Amino acid sequence: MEEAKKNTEAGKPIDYTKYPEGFDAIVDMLDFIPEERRRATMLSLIDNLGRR
Amino acid sequence: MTPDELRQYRVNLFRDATSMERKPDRIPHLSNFWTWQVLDMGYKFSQATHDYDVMEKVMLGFHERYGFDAYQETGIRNPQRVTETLGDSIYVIDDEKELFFLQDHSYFETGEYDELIANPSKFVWEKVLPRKFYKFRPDMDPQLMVDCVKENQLFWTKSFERNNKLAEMGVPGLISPKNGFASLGIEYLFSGLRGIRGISLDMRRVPEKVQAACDALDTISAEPVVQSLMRDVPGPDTGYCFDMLVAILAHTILSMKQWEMFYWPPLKRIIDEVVAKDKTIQLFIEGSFLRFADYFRDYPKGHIAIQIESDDILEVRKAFPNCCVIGGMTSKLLSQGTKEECVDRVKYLVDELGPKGFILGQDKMMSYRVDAKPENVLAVCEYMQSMKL
Repeated sequence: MEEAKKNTEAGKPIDYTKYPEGFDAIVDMLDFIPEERRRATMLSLIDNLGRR
Repeated sequence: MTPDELRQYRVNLFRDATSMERKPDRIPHLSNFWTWQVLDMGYKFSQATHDYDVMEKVMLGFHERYGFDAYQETGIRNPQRVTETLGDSIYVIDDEKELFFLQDHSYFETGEYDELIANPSKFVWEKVLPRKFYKFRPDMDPQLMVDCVKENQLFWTKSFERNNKLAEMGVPGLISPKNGFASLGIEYLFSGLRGIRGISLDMRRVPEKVQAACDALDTISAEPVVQSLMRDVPGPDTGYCFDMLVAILAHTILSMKQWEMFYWPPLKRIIDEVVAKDKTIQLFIEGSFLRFADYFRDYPKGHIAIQIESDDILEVRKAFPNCCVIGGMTSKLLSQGTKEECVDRVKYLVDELGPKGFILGQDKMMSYRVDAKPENVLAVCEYMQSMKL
């Protein structure tokens, strides 16, 4: 939670269920994936989560 | 044969059968066994879906025992650990009763179509995921989603490892990963977002909204596959049995008018591109499909393989003379018949449907212990491995 607050403007917590701000905040955390593939990875995951 | 040679031999069996012009060395045998594999190998559903070492033992052990030429399922059907990262899975597993099923569900209401149409990814993120997964909350620790991404990566890493080990045993991959698996927008609504009851009502009440929703979902599901096909080089990917697959389930609740409106246009677009690029497509079909035969009449032979469920395979051959047919081995015989009756059934099918344009498979997704007796499955497999045309 503290880490999330550091990423906000004026200390307001990020609502991670909002798109694109919550989505983008999580994409930025995927530092174990090459940057150019992070967004596609998340979009593919959303697709799978929506179906399964 | 070396594993590489055996793998190529098996690919050639499928490619020759699908061509409908070339006679394969023998009839190829496709496994339509799913969770039955888990039970037959002596494990529980929850074990195999949560422990990738167990799933590997299931898949490799199943092949060692039965030796099919290719497998519809290699442990990728149920990513339980991925979905459970965010909360309960929508699948119900009862190991004691050996049940593994999904109940009809809906994650949005008829009045919300405009939001889905405007931006499907945003809609799934903001509306569907919070309703589906109780841990996906506004104040959730974002590490939860990061963990979910890692679980998804692990799921696919382990899937590729299993497939590689099967390849070392001479088993080819069924579908080329170049264009892979395409799921139409209507299927996404039917089985993922709106459910059977919900979509049935919506197609009558707000058909234009459903149409627009299908089109919007196709931009993220079917259209990328069409674009990939258009960019791909012509010709088959000869390392795999088929170039791509489409699973067809939602047609079971559609009238012909609804099929024309929601299903056929994007499916036709995909098949047209497959034919234009001289590739092959496996249509994995549930329920009955005979009433749609006219839509496929103009396609040339050599590109489409239809895997059927409810229909009599001989009737399918007559109705789809330009398509390879997959199926014919009934779960009724496999579960209630004798070994001799099962083998006699294979001989009958080969006589009636072979030698060209026929791939033997089971007539349903074999899921539960009662669906087949192991000794019958083994008898059929041993016959198929020894037969020559």
